Amino acid sequence: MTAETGRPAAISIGREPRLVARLVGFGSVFGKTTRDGALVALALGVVAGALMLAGAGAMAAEWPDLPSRLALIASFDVLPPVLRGLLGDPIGLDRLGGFLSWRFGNIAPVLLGIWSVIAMSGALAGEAKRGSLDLVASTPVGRRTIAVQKVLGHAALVGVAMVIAAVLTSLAGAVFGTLPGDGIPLANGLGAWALIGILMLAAGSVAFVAALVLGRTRGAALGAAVLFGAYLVTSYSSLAPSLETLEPLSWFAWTAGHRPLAGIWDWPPVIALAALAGAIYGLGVIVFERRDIGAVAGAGRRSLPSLPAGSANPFVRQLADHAADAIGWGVGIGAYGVLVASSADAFVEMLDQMPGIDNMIGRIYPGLDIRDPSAILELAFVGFGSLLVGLAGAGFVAGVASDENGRRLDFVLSTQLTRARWFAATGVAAFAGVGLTTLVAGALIAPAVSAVGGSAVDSVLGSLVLALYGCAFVGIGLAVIGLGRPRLAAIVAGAVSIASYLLGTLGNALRLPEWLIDLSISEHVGRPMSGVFDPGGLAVMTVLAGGGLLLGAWAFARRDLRG
Amino acid sequence: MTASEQAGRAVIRTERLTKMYGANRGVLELDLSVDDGEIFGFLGPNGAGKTTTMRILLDLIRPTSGRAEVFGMDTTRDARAIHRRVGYLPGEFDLYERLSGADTIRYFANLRRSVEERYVNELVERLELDPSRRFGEYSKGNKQKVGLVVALQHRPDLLILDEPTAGLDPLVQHTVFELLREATAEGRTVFLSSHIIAEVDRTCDRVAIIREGRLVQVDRIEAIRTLAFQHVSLTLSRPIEDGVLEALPTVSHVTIEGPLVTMRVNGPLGPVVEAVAPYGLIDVVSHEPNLEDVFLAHYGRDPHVRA
Repeated sequence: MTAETGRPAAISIGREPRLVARLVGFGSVFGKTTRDGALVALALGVVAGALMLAGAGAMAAEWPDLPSRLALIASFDVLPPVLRGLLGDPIGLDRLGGFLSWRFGNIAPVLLGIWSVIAMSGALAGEAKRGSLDLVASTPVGRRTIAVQKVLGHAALVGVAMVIAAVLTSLAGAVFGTLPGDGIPLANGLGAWALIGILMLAAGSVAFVAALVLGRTRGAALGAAVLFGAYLVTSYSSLAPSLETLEPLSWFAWTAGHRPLAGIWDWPPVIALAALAGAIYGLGVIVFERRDIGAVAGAGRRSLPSLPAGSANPFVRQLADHAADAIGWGVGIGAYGVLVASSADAFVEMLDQMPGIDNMIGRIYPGLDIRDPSAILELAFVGFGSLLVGLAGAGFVAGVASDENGRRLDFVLSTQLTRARWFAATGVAAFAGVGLTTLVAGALIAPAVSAVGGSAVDSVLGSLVLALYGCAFVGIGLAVIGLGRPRLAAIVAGAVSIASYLLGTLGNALRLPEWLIDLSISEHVGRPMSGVFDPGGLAVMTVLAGGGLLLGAWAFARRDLRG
Repeated sequence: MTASEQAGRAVIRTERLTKMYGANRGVLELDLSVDDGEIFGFLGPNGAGKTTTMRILLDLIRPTSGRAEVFGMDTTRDARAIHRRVGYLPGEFDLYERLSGADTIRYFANLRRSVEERYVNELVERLELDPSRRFGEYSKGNKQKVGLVVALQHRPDLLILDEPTAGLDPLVQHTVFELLREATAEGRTVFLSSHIIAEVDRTCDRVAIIREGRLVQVDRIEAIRTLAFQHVSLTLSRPIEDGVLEALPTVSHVTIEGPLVTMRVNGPLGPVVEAVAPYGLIDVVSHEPNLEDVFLAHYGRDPHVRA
């Protein structure tokens, strides 16, 4: 209302929305989708491109000439797949593009794919849950058009992010190339990022369809499970027959031969994957057209066991809310650990066929008994497993924040319950959610480790360290809630978890300063599955968890509620 | 007027419309007809099936059996054509928190593409909405105002409004019903649910009362009142024995407190007066029932009977 007249400000509405508004604005469902996601797309494109620039800079500094690169290739050729970790086969490492493709090409679609999973699970299901879809669907736009424009809007955003990343990748080749083959033509950059974009959209397509049937949360969980599962199966398929059997199902495996940055092109599987993703989205559009808006299948609610709905106090109620998700995360992480642990025998056999490998691994991982079954968990599980625990923690932070975001706190805090007590109770419940996650995972992993001759006790203790690791991110999220940003809390906790993982896995390759790499919490977990602990790291994690809770409670008691 | 002529005037028509949510009841065999140009009130307690019926009419959910038509078109097959002519306000909704009220209204105007800027601003002014604030910052009532502007802004032939005055202050409630009366004066039709029965009583031409998914009464408000009971209070000079009034077939809900007797009478008062004459009738007061009385009676509640 204007101050002078007290009359509402006028709203300008044209007879027809302008083309710009239809593309990025309020002129269409497509335009609103691109408008809402534009900042995220730009940020992700720039961050992805910046990583390529940093990687290229590190490559140029560390391996500037041909002999040093040939030595790099030789060192990787003798490594067993498990030590190549989650990076995939090193192809064309003698070129800058090949190095970037190897270092980032496999992990980028997983981390960026989380965006597609979150966005597409909420595209229709989230809006239906909020109630706004009823209004949109009661306009003459039509359900099919709404769904198609939502999908195309997200695809356009992914396209923009990928083009930005491709341009910066090409720029990295021009700026940091030191050998004749180091230049990265824009076409190669676009070809590489096209695959990454399609891998992201494929994960999003699963979340899109699943969310329409099972609801947003379970849809996102299923999309994330497919994304992470496909990636892990491909990365460790050579470890165990069980994983190798599953590899044909992974689209990461289908498209492993398409590495344009390394000068290798293989478009048919990429096109096939794009067609598959398109078909899954098409299925989602049909499902959306035929089903009641907002209807969620009963299977989605009954698929996981849960604690009885608690009403005794805020702790029990919050934990009851987290229980099903915690069990789901725990089963997923535990299954991953079991697959890795069960491949210990095959791993030892492989080591036996590679003379001299023990010494080499000993240099990389001093003090690690590589023939102990726990060691394979250390090499192939702890890094990515801890990322998953961190993301689970971020999910529980979202649960705590939802009480305030959904204005339930107005009711809760109108009782005699004090703010500090509510904050402490629900914060501890979020910690308990992480604990339950790792408890379930540990309960699955321990027997598998024991079955191959390892120490079940070590794996249980290792799970407890992972619990503390996850609680550190929960603590960060709780502090953000307390300081007055409940809507950002889960995003911050998740982003710090991902940043910590990236710093830990890519920091050395990017030749980042030691002090920066040391900021990664994942660098301070010790070797928890092998019974080696880092007391300083454990102390830091405890301080982050407990300090976040205390800071959050202190600040929360002193600010206005948001809603 | 013949049945076929009446059917020709129907803007909304449902036949044996049933919606089940798994084993749970939505609506059951609902036969409903809303005529062109009327304000039709849809009354019922929470969970009776009002919102389910409205969402079926918009094709947001599909019938389990039976059918529904709007403007003579099937709600499932011809949803887009229907949507062009309908304005809808959901009972519960939350829009885009980071958009301002103006952006929200503009977005829906663009999706419809037949909106007059002048009329939108008139609505905003009459509803006293500040459109410059973010939707997430609005109070419940202001969010409702945004929803009302979205529903009304394209001057739809049919307004389907689920609790349109929920959260609004009495002055704005009055404005809303004024807008609805203007809409029908222009020949448009309004189908609304409301818990403010007094306002429905004053505004609606016809009402339907729904109970546990089934229609229990549909008629013009005056007819409902005429057919309904009266609340009668008698003052007698001597106490009347129990059972005297209950014996009359048109009398129910009898309460005796010394010389004061209250009851509900479905029919003429003559037999009642004759029955109480031996007890010295001093005074008779008869209350004409309002819609609230009828509504509550359908649910076994009598506002004139003290708990």
